[in-house]
Amino acid sequence: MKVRLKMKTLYQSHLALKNKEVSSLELTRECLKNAKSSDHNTYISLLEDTALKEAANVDINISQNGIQSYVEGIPYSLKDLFITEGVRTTAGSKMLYNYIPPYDGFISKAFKNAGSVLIGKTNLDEFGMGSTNEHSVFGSVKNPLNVKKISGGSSGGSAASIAENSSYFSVGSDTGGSARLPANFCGLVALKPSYGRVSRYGQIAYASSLDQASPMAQSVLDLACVMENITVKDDLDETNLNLGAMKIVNELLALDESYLKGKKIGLSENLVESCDDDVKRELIKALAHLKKMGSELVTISLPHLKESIATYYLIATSEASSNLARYSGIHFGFKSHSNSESHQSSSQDSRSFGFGEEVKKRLLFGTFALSSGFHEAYYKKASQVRRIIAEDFLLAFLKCDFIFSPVSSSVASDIGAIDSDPMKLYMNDLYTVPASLTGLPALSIPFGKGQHDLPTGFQLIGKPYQDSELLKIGHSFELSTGRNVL
Amino acid sequence: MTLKMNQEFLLQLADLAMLKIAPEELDHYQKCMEQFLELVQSLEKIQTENVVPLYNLSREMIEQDSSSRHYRQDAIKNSISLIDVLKNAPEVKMNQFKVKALMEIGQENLHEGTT
Repeated sequence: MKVRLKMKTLYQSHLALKNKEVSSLELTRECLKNAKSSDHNTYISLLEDTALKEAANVDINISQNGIQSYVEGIPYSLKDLFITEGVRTTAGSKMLYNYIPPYDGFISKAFKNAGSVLIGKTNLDEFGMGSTNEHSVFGSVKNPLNVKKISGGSSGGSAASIAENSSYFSVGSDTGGSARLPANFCGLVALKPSYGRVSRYGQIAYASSLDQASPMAQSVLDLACVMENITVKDDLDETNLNLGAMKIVNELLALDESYLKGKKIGLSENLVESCDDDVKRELIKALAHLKKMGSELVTISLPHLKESIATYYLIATSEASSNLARYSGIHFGFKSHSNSESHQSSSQDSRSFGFGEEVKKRLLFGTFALSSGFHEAYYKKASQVRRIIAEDFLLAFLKCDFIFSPVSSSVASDIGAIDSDPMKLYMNDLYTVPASLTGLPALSIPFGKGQHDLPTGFQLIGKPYQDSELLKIGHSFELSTGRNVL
Repeated sequence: MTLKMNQEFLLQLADLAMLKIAPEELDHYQKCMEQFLELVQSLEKIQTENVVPLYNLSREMIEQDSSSRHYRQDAIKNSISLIDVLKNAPEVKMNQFKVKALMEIGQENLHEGTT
């Protein structure tokens, strides 16, 4: 039996903590109870002892100094791709099965400083490579809404932790849809921030020009609470931009549903039509609702959208082949005890036994795309098409305020169903990779139910660096539907 | 159209990627590579002459906006201790990472090296 959390959302819990109706220790105990009774394979490391200690300490701090931020005292989970000092960080890989980082990354430090309580490190597709969470050396994550279904990936454990009520929010990462897809399959919200908005320091790299830490939660307002804490400029990531910390929660609280009035929603032809019937039906309903709230539908043209998948897989695998070159079984991580005579052969053995099949496939392809004689035709070509796709979006934004798109063409599939067809796995990312390639902020919002009573939803893509505007639109949409508000 | 990648070339790629492919895995990885090639084939028809590649959006932004540019001071600062650095190493000898010999120097007792 799952214990029902007293408060459903992060923001509700914050208010309850502030009003001394509940303690962080009580919230933490409930989350831990739910985590321990879960059979969704959500966590790689559950941190019961330290979580209870942290919660007790934060309760003392709150009683002495009052509550300092929205996330103080709130139990949360972290994708096991973010390094945590003294706490094993695996990236879902045998390669890092015993790796204990000697320092904190930007994300874990930000929440440690804020007094959030880390419940555990969540399961993921190995190194973030996958969209179903079936490619973790620790096994697949089950969807808490229907255990026969995938949770989505690669931040599947993060989504499951919120859906099973063992955390109030999670920080996942999104390289080509890895936070938006699992949020969509588990009935949650996720924001992939603009590239450069959140520091990547201490985030184990998959594809450096695409990776972004991405909050996942029950409501858009909750996402805003999390974003306030992770948008401080960090000099330790050279691609982190000086955009100023987002102070957005009060703005959201002052909004009502009339904020949607007069907003222009860009809709690319054939995008909604390409989805399964149940998803299509709900997307059309969502559009009708936005129209009813006074938004205006505008047809836009994104002529190279279908090339996004090819562009994405060339760029992501190329960058991965470079990023993952550091795993050699010498400085840290898995070392094969084969009888190889040479240094090179020993490293090759460590990598061949340490990486899973999906990772090795991507490393081989990325190596090919970067190799002498093929670099121009593949990696450089993809980077040029990436520019063309980005320019298409900028042109489209001359006509609209934000772009409406599916997150996935279908609801969560059966565990094992997609895995048998690798091309289907890659096509899963069709609607999510464009925002990654162009660095645009994108918000995944649940709306309606499809087959097997599983959640459906849609995605809003914002103008460059307009993450705050996107959250405002998302929040007023939730206000207008009465879902998960306050 | 099915694109082909021969197994000899695949083994060269594996070597570059510091991976080994067992003989019984060759057909499987060959098929995967061919599927990947087919997936990315659609880019061929896109006209990209004179298009400047987009490698990293932030780097472009930083080039345009000097307030985002930050250079660390060239100063000595505390780092992680040697003990902490070596804690995760699979094999350590004399406070150094232990590796197989990188070169033969003709002495029988020097089969191990350190970096």
